[in-house]
Amino acid sequence: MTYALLFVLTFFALTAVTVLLDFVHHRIGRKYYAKMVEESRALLYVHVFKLLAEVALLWLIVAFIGQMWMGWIKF
Amino acid sequence: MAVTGVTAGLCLPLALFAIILIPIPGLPAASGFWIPAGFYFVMTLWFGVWGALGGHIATTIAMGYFSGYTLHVWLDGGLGDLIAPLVCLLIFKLAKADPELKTKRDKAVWALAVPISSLVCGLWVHTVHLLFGIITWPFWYVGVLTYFIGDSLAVFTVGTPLLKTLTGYVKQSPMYIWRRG
Repeated sequence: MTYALLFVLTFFALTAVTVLLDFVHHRIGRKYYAKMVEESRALLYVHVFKLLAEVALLWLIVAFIGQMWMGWIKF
Repeated sequence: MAVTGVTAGLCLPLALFAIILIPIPGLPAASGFWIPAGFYFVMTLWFGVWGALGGHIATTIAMGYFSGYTLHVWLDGGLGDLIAPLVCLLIFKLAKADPELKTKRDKAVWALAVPISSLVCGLWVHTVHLLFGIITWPFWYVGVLTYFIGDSLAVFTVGTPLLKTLTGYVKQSPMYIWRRG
């Protein structure tokens, strides 16, 4: 495994862990977040768009691995 | 406008980089698993035309400027990506289904609306390509089929969890188009 590939995969792993921890965080604090979101519209939008951005990050990681498998990305 | 901007901002990196080609047995071309479609279908169901516009802008920019397609292919594809989520929204509106997908009926509407929308888009894009001589007739059906499979798969895989988990929050927004009163 090349150094560059290892670096990139480590970065992806850490990104995925961070995103998953955030999901767990929201799951545990769901009722408190629901209350906060009801009171603040800005928080609602930040929350929704942040979650969308995190899902987009995860799919970019999947696409990267898929493109390595396809041969579009080579190390 | 903010919704359009955010949708475009989310979909642009996905449109640039997040495509996987999946070979389908029996077909000479691979099916493009078009990940941004999951996002702009969902944004359209939540926010209507503004969400659809965001997806359209993102894919048009990605296909045109960065991917180097000719103007015709670029605009045709971008327009198809505007039509597809709007067809899905129309089906949801006609069926009076809820994007939160809580009931079996809502899930059934989603299960039907997505392939119908993908098929309409695939037919649009490839028929226009055929009429303008970009593709030949034997490739027309391959193009429609691979487009239909790839788009539907991506919208189901990416969009379904987003609708089920986030619609509850988005419903509280005044921009949510299904609000009553």
